[in-house]
Amino acid sequence: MSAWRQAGLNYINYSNIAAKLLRQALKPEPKAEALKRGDAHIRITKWADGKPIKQHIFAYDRKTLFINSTIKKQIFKGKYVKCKYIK
Amino acid sequence: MGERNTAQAQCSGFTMLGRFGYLTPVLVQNVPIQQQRGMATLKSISMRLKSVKNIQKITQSMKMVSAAKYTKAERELKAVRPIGSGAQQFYERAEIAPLPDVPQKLVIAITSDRGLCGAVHTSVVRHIRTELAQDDQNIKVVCVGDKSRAILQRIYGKNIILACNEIGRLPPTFIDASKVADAILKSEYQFSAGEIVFNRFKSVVSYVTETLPVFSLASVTAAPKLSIYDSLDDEVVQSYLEFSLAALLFYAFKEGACSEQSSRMTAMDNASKNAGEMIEKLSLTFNRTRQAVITRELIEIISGASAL
Repeated sequence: MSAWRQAGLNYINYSNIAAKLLRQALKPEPKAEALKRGDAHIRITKWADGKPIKQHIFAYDRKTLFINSTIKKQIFKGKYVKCKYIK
Repeated sequence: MGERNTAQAQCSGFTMLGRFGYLTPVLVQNVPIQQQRGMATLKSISMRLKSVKNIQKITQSMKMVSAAKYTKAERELKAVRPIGSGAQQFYERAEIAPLPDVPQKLVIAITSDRGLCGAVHTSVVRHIRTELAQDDQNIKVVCVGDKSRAILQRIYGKNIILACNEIGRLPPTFIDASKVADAILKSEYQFSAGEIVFNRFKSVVSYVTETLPVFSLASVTAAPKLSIYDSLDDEVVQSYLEFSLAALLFYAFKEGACSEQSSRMTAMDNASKNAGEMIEKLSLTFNRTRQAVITRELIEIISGASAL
């Protein structure tokens, strides 16, 4: 088994990283054109039971406030606590 | 005549006020009646004329924009076609078939976020809908583009496992395709076979809705003719399948984008033509009405003068 697969990557990730490095190593003229091909705009949402699943962002600091797309939440003792206002 | 009728209607409105003590809805009801009775006035015609002219301007500029995008998309498509056919060849040569004991199927709909482009999105969705109508238990759908999601969501919302948007504004890149492929591989949905439904670009005025087959690792390793390929081990097959899914998706994205732009071009061309026809008719009625108003005023003046 190759090292990158052991690290949890699949071939798509692996080859994209290689392609990114190759683009960065180009000469300045082709580089500008190639870098345009290197970014993605697509946004992917998982769906279940006819509804999109909210993706939670995990924060480590227990007092960190972060804003989800719809509700503001606060991590308190490792649990989500819904709060109306941001202090 | 018209004025008298409305006056009567308003009178009845006031008697109703006495009865129900509620004036506003009655008055509101009267307004459309007034508009229906009165002939199209000069002002209303000129306002419509102006709005149709604005619409024509918009459709014309949309056509120009999509024409520019289309030439770019077609140029890029030519470069991508070998990638797509190369990836397809593997499945054909190895004669891979879906596993009989795993009926789960994956369908990937290639559309975009943007409308006003004829029937490109609906024809993809219709293809998927006929499949789902036969069997909606074992088929899961990946919607690429808001349009397919919006149509499928109502009846077959439970079959959607992934929805992708923000596509169609800019030409699709390989990174876009590999993100979708990555998400499909990580979705933990066990399928034996799948298909990508997309519009294959034929010419500026035509496209065909086609499917590309996709298979899982299990179906590929069970294929009887896989041995025509030399020195394959499991890891090579797995890596190749991952890559080929991304390549096939990329190819389908490009075909879809190209047919969308060409279809939008024709749709907008037709829209501007129709708007042009409408402008012609409206300006004719506008001139006729103006002439009628002048004639009526003249008759009134002359008959008034002769009555003196």
